[in-house]
Amino acid sequence: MTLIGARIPKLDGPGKATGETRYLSDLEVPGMLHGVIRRSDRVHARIVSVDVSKALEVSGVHAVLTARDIVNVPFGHGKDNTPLKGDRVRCIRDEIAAVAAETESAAAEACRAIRVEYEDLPPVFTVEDALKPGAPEIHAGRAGNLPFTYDYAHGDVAQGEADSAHVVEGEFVLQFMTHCCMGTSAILAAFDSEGRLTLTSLTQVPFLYRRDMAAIVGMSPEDIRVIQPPIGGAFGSKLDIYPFEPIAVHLARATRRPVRIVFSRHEEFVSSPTRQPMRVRLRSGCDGKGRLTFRDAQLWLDNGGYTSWGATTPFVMMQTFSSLYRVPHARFHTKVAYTNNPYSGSFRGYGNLQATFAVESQLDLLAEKVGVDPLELRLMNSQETGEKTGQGLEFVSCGLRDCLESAAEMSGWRAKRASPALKGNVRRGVGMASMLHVGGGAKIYRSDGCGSVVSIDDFGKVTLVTGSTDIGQGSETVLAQMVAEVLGVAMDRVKVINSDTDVKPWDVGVHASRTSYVAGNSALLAANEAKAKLLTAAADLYELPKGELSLSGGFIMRGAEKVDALDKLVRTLHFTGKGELLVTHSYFEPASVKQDAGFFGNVSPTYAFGTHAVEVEVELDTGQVRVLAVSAAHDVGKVLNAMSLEGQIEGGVVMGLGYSLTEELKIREGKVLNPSFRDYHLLTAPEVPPIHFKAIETEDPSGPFGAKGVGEAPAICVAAAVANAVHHATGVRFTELPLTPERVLNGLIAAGVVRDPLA
Amino acid sequence: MQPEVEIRFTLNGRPVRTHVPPTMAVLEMVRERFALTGSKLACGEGECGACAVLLDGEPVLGCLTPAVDVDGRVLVTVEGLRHKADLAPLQKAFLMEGAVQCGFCTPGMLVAATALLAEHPHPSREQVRRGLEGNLCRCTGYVAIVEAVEDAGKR
Amino acid sequence: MTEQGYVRPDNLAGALDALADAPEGTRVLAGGTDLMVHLRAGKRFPRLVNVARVSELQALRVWGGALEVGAGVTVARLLRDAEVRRHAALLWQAADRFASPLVRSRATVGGNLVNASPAADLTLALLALDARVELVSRAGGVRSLGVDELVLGPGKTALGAGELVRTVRVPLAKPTAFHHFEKSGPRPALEISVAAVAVALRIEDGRVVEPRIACGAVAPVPLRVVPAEQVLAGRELTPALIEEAALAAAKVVRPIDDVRATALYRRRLVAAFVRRSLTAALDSQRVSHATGS
Repeated sequence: MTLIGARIPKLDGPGKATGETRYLSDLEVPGMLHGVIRRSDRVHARIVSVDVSKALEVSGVHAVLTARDIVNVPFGHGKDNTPLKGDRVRCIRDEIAAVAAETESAAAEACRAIRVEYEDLPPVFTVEDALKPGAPEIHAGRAGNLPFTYDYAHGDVAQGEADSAHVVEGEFVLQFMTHCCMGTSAILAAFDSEGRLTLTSLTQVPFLYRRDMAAIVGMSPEDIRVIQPPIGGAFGSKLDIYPFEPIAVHLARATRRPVRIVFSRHEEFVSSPTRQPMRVRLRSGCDGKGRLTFRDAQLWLDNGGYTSWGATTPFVMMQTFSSLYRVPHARFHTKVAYTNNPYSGSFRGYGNLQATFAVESQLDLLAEKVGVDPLELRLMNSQETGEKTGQGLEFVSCGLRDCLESAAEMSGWRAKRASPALKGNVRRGVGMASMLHVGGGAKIYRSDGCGSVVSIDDFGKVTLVTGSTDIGQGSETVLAQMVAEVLGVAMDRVKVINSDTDVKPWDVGVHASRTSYVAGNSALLAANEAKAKLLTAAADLYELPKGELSLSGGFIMRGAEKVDALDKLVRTLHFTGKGELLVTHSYFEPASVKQDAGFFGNVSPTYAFGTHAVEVEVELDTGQVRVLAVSAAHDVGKVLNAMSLEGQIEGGVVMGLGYSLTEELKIREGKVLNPSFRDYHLLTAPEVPPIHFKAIETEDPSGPFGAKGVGEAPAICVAAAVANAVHHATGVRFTELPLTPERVLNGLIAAGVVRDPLA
Repeated sequence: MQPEVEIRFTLNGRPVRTHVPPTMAVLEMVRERFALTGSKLACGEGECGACAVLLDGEPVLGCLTPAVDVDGRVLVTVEGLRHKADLAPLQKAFLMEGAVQCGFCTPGMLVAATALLAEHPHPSREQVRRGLEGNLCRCTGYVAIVEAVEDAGKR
Repeated sequence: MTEQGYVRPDNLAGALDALADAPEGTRVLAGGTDLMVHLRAGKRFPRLVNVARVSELQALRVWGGALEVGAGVTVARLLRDAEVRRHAALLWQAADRFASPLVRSRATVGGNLVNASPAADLTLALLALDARVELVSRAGGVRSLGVDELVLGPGKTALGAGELVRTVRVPLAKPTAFHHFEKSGPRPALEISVAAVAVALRIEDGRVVEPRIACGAVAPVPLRVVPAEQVLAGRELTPALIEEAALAAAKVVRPIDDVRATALYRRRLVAAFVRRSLTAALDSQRVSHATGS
């Protein structure tokens, strides 16, 4: 192998480094109008009237739409959202009207000129209030504001309790966090002369999107073409359809002009989905030695005004409660309740950051009760290759033990753990946490597959048409590497086409850390078939034994001897003899199963594991937590591209640090208090600690070259490790994120670790 | 309508002139008047740095700098960073270190780093980190970006 | 905006002319880092006077026993200037924690003053340094105000009609001076202060002389905490005295709860930052004793 594991620069890098790459916000088409949405001023109200007359007078306005002007089809996982809201608003994001105009400023001016009269309805802002008898009903006919519950169990928790020498119990509160993609949400909708719709869209799931969009805008899916331009970040935020997208279609239809909508940053903060906030009540037990006996989790999720994917995060979370370390008995119960808050979507980790924070915090508490080092307790309960968990997850490869030991070693765990350092005004400590996540997709639909087409043209250029989607993470490059490796050609001889549903074969989309694994396996199948075809043809042509032929450096080789150049062989096939094209195709369906009604079953063909050890410094006078180093070990199966892997790890770790320390979309009474980068703090370059990374290569038997997915993994266990480190440093256990200086100082004072400086 | 002001300046090495409303920002000017869309609008409040450009060699925010203020001066956008047909060493370092993921912050990062390297040709890691403190990135965690700038400073 | 709604004078006289008959609500545009945010959001002003080309606002020199800083001097220029670092280290420290390099290259000293933000870092340093602000107008000539006389409330200043900030004069630091700036983190910069503290004092014959402590983001204006200064004046710096001054400072500030922090936390930060600053002063004294200087 020559390319696998190498540091290969991204194929789309040069255009991005020269500024020449055109993102959707850089794209203009002739006749294009700008769409702007008028949103609600209230969080819960009846819409009494909407007067658009002044908006229509604004110069340059082509259309003003309200719910009355369109067929408002309900959509989404709960079928409770509509593109425009006609009679009632349920959260601050609600779309009441939309304008298409010659310029963005004219459209914005027209939006401001729309007069909306409301009659306030009693609001509900917490899950507790929403579930109280007699609470205001947010959606008519959804009694009790309780659209979803999830129940899972394996073993017998009562038995687990009986087997326990130690039980810990506590509540964890997790905040709203938002994606902050550097490129804001956007769409361009354009109808052609035959009435077909082209959506230039940032979606992560183009085929499901096409199907769902067709239903919303009253079209046939085959008449919708989805083009996926380069995208300024996604991280899960574009896994669902949001109202602005069908609104753009309705505006394009009404004006017979292409319409583009690009969110302002303010709009992005207020109106794009968030990470699911929740309250987690967890009990964990272990025996006298520290072997886990049970976990019993109850969760309450704030669904906001409408349902997006956030409501389905329990599906992923229960895997962590049931299967991160060996747990003989586990129970999981979740209630998802409507409120008048903004609603949540999917976000890198899909609930797992929240679940892992609770589970791994309690592992440290148990270790303390037993009186063993947290590392020892984790090693004692670690899983091994070949295990099947209580939920039916099958670990065909599992590097958790290696991850634990490697992270500990990189961090200098044993020495640092021995005594938390005290230096003047600061205390230092180390903490660790591990994670489990799907590593090859998740079979939530009947298929979790991906199609590929490989073709080699008569100049020897290889084209991979893949169903998968690149959202900036570099899947295009990794897939090209795999194909180049199989066909023995240089990277620059492979082109990847992955951005047009009129051309590419079906795929579920980019989520669940599935692209390297599923699209990779799919590309490999097609590439291997192309290879077989080439070798057979060469064997026939030159009357050589096929078994002695190979592909390397752009040639058909027999040992070290060049038999023929690849391009020449392809030309021979095309233009002489049988006139054969070198095109192969494949469809790869992972060996996972759709879980049963009780959520049992091996939902992914393989799983990712990882451990982070984090060293922190806590300032006792300000409560400021500084992360000094992160040591991350991840079971990645096999390193495909060392550089893009490190990029995923580092980016994920820093995103996890943001979740731990600074990031919270502050919602009070349904409104967003900090809708700007000024008050929503992403980490900046000077705040980022050294990140030590070790890839654990377990060579998954089913993965492409042994690889498994890692896109989400690095963000998942950071917060728990940080909280455990802060506990080690200060003796104070924090169960609510983020660990802002104020929260930490309050905790230190309340615990008597420091004296109130004002006292 | 606002009366437009005529301005002449050097843009990516070429003398140019245009008319702009006095409240127009450099960002909209380069994107709308010169079709240079490398500089990005990602916040419009000076908090993210994706719109950074060089004005007389100093890194400034395209979104908050009035276009009229470039009159008579030298403006360089990300499109002007390459060395003729070839990429600048810094751009190459970005590619070789994996400093580009989604790429939306990349133009601003390159501009800020170019200014930093002009002032400190061989910056320390801390100088690089501070030099990029006004540029947000959501993909990379900054690690590869900082390494790329350090690398370019070692050449 | 009308024809006369936008003026770009070439010199100070032109700027003062443009301001002299200016309609109410006229704004001076220097670096634009604050004003452009409003303009982008669609806000309009009856007249904008762009002073980017007014060279008289660009002074940066030691002159007449003071550091003279033109209102149009950018934060980046302050940071590059050796005289600033030598004679007004506190101003330099505040500049170093100011926004980001991209903002520092445009944001001006005058802009930071007249924005009159309670959290303005440079203004805080200038207040602690006892700087004088010179205002000019076509009708009234020149007048000079202290920072606390100029900044009256959030966004509110004592600038009269037609007046422009021309220069800021900062007394040169004596060899016995100690300057220290503390700002809430974790970011080194690019952060609206949750609280900030600027301390300027001298230690002569083992005693604190002319201490000036200014606190930011804990009152409607950058605030001198006079009771804390009184605790220190003429006394020997000891841990007990530091504690007393820190508590006095925390007591006198008037913070509010907002989206960034609560009033209580801000008060605690003031105590912490005053304590840190004065402890640094004590340490610097020990160092200078140890080196015999």
